[in-house]
Amino acid sequence: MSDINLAPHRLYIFTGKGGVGKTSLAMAFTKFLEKKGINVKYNCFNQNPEIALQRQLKLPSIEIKMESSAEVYIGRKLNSTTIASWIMKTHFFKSLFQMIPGLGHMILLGHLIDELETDPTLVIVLDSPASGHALTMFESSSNFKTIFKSGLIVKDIDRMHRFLKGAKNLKTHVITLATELSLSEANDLKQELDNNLPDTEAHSDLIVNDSYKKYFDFYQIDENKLPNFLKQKIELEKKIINDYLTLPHIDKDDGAQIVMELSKYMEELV
Amino acid sequence: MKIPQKKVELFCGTGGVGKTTIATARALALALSGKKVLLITIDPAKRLKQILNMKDSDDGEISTISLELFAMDPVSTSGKSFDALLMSPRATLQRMAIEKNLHAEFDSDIIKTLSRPYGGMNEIMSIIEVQFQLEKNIYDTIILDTPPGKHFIDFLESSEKIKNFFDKSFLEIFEYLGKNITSGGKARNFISFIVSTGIKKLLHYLEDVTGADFVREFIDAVLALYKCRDSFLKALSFQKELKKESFSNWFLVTSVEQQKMNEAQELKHDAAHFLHRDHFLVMNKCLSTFLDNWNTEGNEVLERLKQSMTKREHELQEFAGKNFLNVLKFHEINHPSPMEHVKKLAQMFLDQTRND
Repeated sequence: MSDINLAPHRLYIFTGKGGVGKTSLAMAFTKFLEKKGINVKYNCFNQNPEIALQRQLKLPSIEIKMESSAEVYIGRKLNSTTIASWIMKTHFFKSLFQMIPGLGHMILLGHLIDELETDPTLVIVLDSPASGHALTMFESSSNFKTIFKSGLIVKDIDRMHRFLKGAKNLKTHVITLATELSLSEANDLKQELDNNLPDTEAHSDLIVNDSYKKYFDFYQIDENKLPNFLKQKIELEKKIINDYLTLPHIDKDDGAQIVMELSKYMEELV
Repeated sequence: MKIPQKKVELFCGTGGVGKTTIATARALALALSGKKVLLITIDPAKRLKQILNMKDSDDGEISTISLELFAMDPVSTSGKSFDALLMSPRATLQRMAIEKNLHAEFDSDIIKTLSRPYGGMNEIMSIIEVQFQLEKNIYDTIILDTPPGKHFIDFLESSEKIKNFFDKSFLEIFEYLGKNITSGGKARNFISFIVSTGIKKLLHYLEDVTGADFVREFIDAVLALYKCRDSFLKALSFQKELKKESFSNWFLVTSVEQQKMNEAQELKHDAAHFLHRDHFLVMNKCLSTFLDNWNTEGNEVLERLKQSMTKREHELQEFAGKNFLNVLKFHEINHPSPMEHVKKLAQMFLDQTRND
């Protein structure tokens, strides 16, 4: 049996606005780490999982449902699953979860961090939408400290913060398309994420996805041969790409092929 | 294609498809044809701000956007404007607090957290806001740019959530805790009631998890919201109005840019459940006009690229034609300024709806 390799970070979060390619990238990155012999698991963070694609790719994944997560998690904290399920069935908690979706997200994150602390070789790749997820889980953890003040949840928030701020445990990739609007939104998101985990070493960076310029560079295509609409696209890209890590457009139309093709470009995301 | 005039127009779609830009373009197009329009956006990314040069301090306030800002033909824009509102759940809640004289109760950490942009009251607050603006009766059309969410059904279901909340959780909690809610009792009375009914132990465990003060403060917060029950339930019945053909147009926005077929499928599925006849599938960022005229001169890479781009768009087009009665196509705009995008899309709206 070969030794299990370790990755530089324990938790990789892929986030960004809808349609920027988070899921493909998170999956590609998981496949990339797997190939390097790392004990890695992909988690879709309470979104509808793309089961067919995951199966096709034989993607190692860890799936946790929100409700059961909360129950298991609180059970662990109270040392009793019976009491946990009892608590989760109270109207008090049901309404709490309904009104504060961030609480569920935070518990889900806490659950994943539990897994990471239990198995020191494990690496988790989190595929997390910007709205309502990536932000709520960081934002809410500080909010919840304000509103809960004491008790198990606050203690656990402190533990989660310790883990997230711990020596290079966390790496966040904010994904953007190669357009000005998308990039400015991604920059705002990055800033908010950084602000929500203060006193932490910079943990997030921007990745420009689906760049046509990079694609044509790769195939050494003379820009003058391109039709106007692509020339314009590339001119716009040139203005904004700068020093950002940039991934090329992939000219495949099958989901699994896209992921496998992307996984060849993942070295710099580690 | 004809788009009938309605009191409300809703723009739905996942993030990144250009929903906010299209909704803004629609507002501009209607304003250009002389309509009095209010545009409400609850997209927390606030793209509209960039487009309309608005500031954070404008959240929750109506701004009047002069069409002169768009530097178009002066004859068609002179003296015209539309109103825009950046939805702020907190501002809406604040207004309710004033109406009901609940200032003190609403000044709680819990309610402040709930009404943050990601707090979970986004959708219901925006329904309340649309209704409030509608009752002013000064707009021909109110355009609502719905939050990105999983898809727009989240938005509708959010009111179901509130209904469940009040009808089940709330009422049962309160019936459980005591019947004198309306007499203005504070949480402490309920705590003593809990203790006297022997569920002290449960409460003890709850307190272990959330902290003792929290349980009390949460009940206070819930009480304050409960006192606004009327407004929430009114919003709920209003949501039924939104589904009436005489009242609303629905625009389902999708984009050719990414792999959006699954999402288009979901939209279709939900459309069958929820929507009346006047719904429009918007295909944004179409490239076909460019692709058709592209001669790749036998270059293998370029030919492959052209084919994959063509195929992607063709599939969406075919899907749209099969499943949607009304399809609006908007071709991609390559321009650095979001303002130009809005202008060009508004023009495309006018062109596509002028034909008959």
